[in-house]
Amino acid sequence: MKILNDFAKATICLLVGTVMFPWSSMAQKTQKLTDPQIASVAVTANQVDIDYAKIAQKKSTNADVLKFAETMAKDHQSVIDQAVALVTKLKVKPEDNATSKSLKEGEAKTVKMFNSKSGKAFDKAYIDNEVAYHKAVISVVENILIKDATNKELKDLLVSAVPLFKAHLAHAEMVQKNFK
Amino acid sequence: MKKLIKVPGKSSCLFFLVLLFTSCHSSDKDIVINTRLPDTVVIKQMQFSPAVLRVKIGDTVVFINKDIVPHNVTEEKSRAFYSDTLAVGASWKLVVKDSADYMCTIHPTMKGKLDL
Repeated sequence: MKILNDFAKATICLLVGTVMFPWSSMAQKTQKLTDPQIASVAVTANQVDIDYAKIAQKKSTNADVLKFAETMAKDHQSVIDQAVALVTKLKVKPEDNATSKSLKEGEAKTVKMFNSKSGKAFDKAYIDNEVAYHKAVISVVENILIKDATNKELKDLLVSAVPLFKAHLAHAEMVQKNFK
Repeated sequence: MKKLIKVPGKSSCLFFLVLLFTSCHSSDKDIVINTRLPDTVVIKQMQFSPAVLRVKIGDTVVFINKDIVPHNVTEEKSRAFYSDTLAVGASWKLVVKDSADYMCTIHPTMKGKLDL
């Protein structure tokens, strides 16, 4: 019975992940990403979370949510700045691809969902999404982007971003406890 | 007569050399004891390293941000000390007044300890 329950939970998680973050499963199916494509995915993934944070800063009045959103906006901008500086130095032009396009499509759906909520329901939706989004991003960075990157400096930047995203996830989970 | 004008022998020279060396050596040792280097806590990969630092009251601890995002160093219980935001590459000195649990308030899962 327990095995069945675990299987059901795993299936639900997989389905939710595929619906909310189709780019995470899609990326695994596509062929190896090039460095310009990886740069595009990295910048887009960070920009999406900044966009979410800006919505939270406008809609939320919860101190913990606002503080978390401020950290997300600043930290992800810092990663984008470093990624842009690196690709400029390497003369690599970020190239749109199926994964980065899928990220933007996922963002449009999530923003629509955020706009339909307010008050505590919005706070919960935002922080739940942050937990799921960071889990998905960590998985993509660790399992795809780092492995596919050929330039050492690009690979190093991706590696150094993983502890940051994991700390964001732990912070999001800490805030999420207030909404259960 | 011949013995009175004799230059110092090899054994005497060796004795003076040993004396000179030991006096210099003890002087260097004094300098090392009197100028203890500040302890350093490096902030990297979202961690304070070392996470627990053994210190004495009056010691100077330097916190260096070698991470990819800004951080701060804040005493946890009563905000007894606060570094302000440390940009990437910036450092901050703290003179230890007491043992302390500290954290980064920007990233509240990052914690460290100064242990007396």
